[in-house]
Amino acid sequence: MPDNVVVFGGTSYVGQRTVKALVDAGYHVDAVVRRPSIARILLGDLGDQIGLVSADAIERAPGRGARAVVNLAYARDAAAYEAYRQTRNLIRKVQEAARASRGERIIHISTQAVFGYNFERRPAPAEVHWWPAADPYVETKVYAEQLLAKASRHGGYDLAIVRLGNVIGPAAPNWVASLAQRMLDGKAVGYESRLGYANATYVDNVASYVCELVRRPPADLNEFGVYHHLAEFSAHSWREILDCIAGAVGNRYVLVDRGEDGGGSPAASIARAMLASLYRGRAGGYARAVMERVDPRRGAVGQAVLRLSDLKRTARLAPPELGPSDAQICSILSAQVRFESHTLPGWHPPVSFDEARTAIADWLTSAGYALDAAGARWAEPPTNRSPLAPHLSCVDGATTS
Amino acid sequence: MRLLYDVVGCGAVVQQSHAPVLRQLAREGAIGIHACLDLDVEVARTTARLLGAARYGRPDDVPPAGEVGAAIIATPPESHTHAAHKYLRSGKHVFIEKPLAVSLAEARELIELSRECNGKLVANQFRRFFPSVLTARRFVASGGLGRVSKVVASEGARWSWPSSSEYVTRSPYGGVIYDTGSHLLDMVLFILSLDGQGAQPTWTLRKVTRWPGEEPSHECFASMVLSLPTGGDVELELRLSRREPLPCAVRIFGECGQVLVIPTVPQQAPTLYVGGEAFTLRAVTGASQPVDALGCFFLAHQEFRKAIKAPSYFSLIDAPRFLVLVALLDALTHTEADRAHA
Repeated sequence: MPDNVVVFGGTSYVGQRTVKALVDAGYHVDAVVRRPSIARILLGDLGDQIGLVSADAIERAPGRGARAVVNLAYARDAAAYEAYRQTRNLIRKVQEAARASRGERIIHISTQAVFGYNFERRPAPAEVHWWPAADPYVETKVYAEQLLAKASRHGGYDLAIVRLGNVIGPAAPNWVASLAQRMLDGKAVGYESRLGYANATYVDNVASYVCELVRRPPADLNEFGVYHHLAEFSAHSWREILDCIAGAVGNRYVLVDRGEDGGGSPAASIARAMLASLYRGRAGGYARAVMERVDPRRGAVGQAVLRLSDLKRTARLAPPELGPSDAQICSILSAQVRFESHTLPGWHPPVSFDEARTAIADWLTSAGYALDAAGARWAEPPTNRSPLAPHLSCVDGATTS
Repeated sequence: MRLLYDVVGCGAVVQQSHAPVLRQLAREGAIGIHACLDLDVEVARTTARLLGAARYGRPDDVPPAGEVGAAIIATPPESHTHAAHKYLRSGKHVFIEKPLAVSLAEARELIELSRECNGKLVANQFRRFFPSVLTARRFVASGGLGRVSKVVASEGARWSWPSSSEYVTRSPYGGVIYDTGSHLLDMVLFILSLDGQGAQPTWTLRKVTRWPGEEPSHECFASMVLSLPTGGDVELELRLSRREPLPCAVRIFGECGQVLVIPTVPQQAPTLYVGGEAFTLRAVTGASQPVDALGCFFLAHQEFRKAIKAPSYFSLIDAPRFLVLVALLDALTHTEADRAHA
């Protein structure tokens, strides 16, 4: 079999680690990117060891045979009304790349979010039917899985869909850096007494698993089935990860009382479902055209859409003191159901939970998240006799709990 | 009186941030847009339609018309001086996108020209209007921290935003230092009140590490010492990245404690760490406060109009406030090694 692998989304956080693991394993990687000049910035020296192919030129992509096409890309910058069209285009390009390179295997990286951000039942490694989540990210992730699964049933390539848990690791943008930033900001990271399962996977373990999928013979994959779940640290609690981050940052984290869940009115639910279907498929074309006539600037249309969905989300999720994004994060960190790993027999994650936590803490320190320990040197909190007394009128009470 | 503007450079910052403000001001009858000018005529035409401008074209094809009172210059930094020059020489007021200029010599030349021609010149360092930044500045100026000894400022995110031009990867002024760095450095200088008209601080660069080693660079770690005109030194550490999610934080260390300002969230009150306790600092003010960057753009335009009406008014974004900033940006992007190489 050829030793080439085509990777879409190789400049993302997980993508970069995956490309590096593939290169280290001896594969030649062709990364399909939107902007090669920006890819060179993100990939650094790694960019010199691989081929960079512009997504616009994928039809003329490397003609040499590829062992697999790995897709980590998704329509991340798309406005809500464009997300479906962009997802269709992306999946078409992935399939074209497989054809052009005679790749016999597509490995598609998906997410546990295809089950929603807060699932109530243990997710099964099986096909998910499209549902109106009123969230372009969730809906288009489901949509991409469906497009690939449907085409693979007609033959042409083997398909592995890998749904990832919450990706942690050094510099992980969502579940490490952003949580550390929230601790610096004094923003809530979860609900009091309700920190749930981490449902996490470590970035280098993801890269290792993708390499394993590329390496294994077709019979192994066919026997296992299409759907893989990767969350080797799902049994650990978010508290263990938050404690690790807080220890490195040197700040306590804020937990808030869980407010009453509004649940959303029936009218809001109906509107949410309508909104979700409005931008999907051919039927959405007329609605999109009407909205585009409202204002020729695309940004304004996207904003209008987001404003509507924000309203719905607020009605559904937010306790009074939290904004929609705060509430979403707190909700994910409250997961009471595990997203369990379902991976190929014989593969073992190379990085343990303790090693992962150490690497994360080291990175947080080196990246400058640690509040200077010197802060503790100032022995005297402000009192009426302290030098800060003239300023106490603008000192407003402790924010951390 | 209704003031007519030319908009020179119609890229993302104009379309996303200036346009809503300009449209609002136009609706109020305070301003009108005369022409939208861009090297890409199609972009100029679209922007002209959006802003209700009668004319559009390439910047050098449309000279400043007599009825035009002011220009918004939102071209790449290296062409700020060229674009501003012709408007100032024609006696127009000029509002330049950040940074004011790419060298101290150019900045001084523009300021001198604006004085000679009685044109107002401001630069849109809009983060100065963040309530958090204003509060921190007042707190530090009133001695709340005691003597300030050190500042650590960092901001970084892995590149994920769309970019429609190659400017950020090709122009020597498209790197992270002139982009995020100009905001972050300006916030530091502003919070420390090092932006006045009197004596200016001097500095010594201790170490500057950039990736790649030439401009445009996309990561920068710099350490320097600012020597204050009032005596005393402040250590400054600056970290910028387009490749890694760095903490978005400006930390000011003083005798009495540490103040933390989040440089990307206007309404996030600064936190004071003292004696192992954390406090939020809230300024008591009756003035309207911006909730986001767009609100800051609105205040910047208000300041510009106020400065035009009252020429003696030294606004928060008056050009002379940015001489230290321009010189520091120049120093960071043209280190001794660069100069030797050149």
